[in-house]
Amino acid sequence: MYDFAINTPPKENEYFFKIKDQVPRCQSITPSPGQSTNIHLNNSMINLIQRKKIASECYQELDSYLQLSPSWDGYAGKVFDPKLIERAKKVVQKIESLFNKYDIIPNEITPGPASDGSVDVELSYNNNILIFTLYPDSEVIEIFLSKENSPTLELKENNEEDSVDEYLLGILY
Amino acid sequence: MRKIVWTNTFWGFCIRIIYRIFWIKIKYIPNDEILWRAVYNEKQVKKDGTLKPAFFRDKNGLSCDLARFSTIEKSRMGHKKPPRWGLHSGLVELDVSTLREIGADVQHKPIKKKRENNYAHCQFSSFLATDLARKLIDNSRIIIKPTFSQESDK
Repeated sequence: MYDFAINTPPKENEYFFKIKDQVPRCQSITPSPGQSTNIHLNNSMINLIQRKKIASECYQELDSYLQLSPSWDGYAGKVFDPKLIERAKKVVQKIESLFNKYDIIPNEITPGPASDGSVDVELSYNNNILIFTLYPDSEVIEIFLSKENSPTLELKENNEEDSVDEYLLGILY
Repeated sequence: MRKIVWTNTFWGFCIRIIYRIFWIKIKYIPNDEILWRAVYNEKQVKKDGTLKPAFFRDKNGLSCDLARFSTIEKSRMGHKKPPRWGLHSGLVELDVSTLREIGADVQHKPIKKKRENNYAHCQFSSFLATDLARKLIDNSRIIIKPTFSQESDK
């Protein structure tokens, strides 16, 4: 199901998985000589791998926006500012660390490019949707929150990236 | 003449030709008219095939075509010779009434350039923030599904 690089075990009955920059230790191992090896992962590790996969796809897509040429949308689409992409990545990092903290998996983290050179980071969890919109010419982050149990849609503006956490918690509870 | 131009009659067809020839700017687009916008880049679409909210966001005025003065193929190809867009691009349709219901509007802004003649070109006259863009996505229709290839990124 996942792509792992299995290294030589540093200790008996112990394997390490290399997932990009992180090396989480697996819980237990059942070596079967001459046969495929059964590897048992605890839920926390599976969650971590899934979160890594979601976040890594998101970073890759954000990076790919830098390769887009003018009129990338077929109309007058503007190219993306590398600084803006870095800011968007920071938002994704915050999302990732929050979900790591609570050991849960977001349904999706999807970046979205707009014709005016702005970028969205859309987070979905339990039918709640949180969208961060970042503009190249402004430090303000527009935050859109749609919660399943609440019919009201909120649109807030915030110019402090640190308080992104506050809205992230809003999607969990 | 202003009313006939919007009808599906022979005279409506003739008047539309006159409008195109003399490049007459349309002052008001009726509510029951249809707008088209091409889906050109795969990054505008989610994995499940739905549009991302950013698709309808452009601070400089979102471009689209007035369907009455275009064809599906022309709108997909970008009204250029040679075609600006590949055959992979899709097409999204929305009603002018939908746009007005969410408090936005559209203006006729024909484009006449050396390599691009688009009489059908229109522009949103108001900026759609994320909440409004999502409403528009819920009420728009993908009439041609995009079939993206790696070419679309270039």
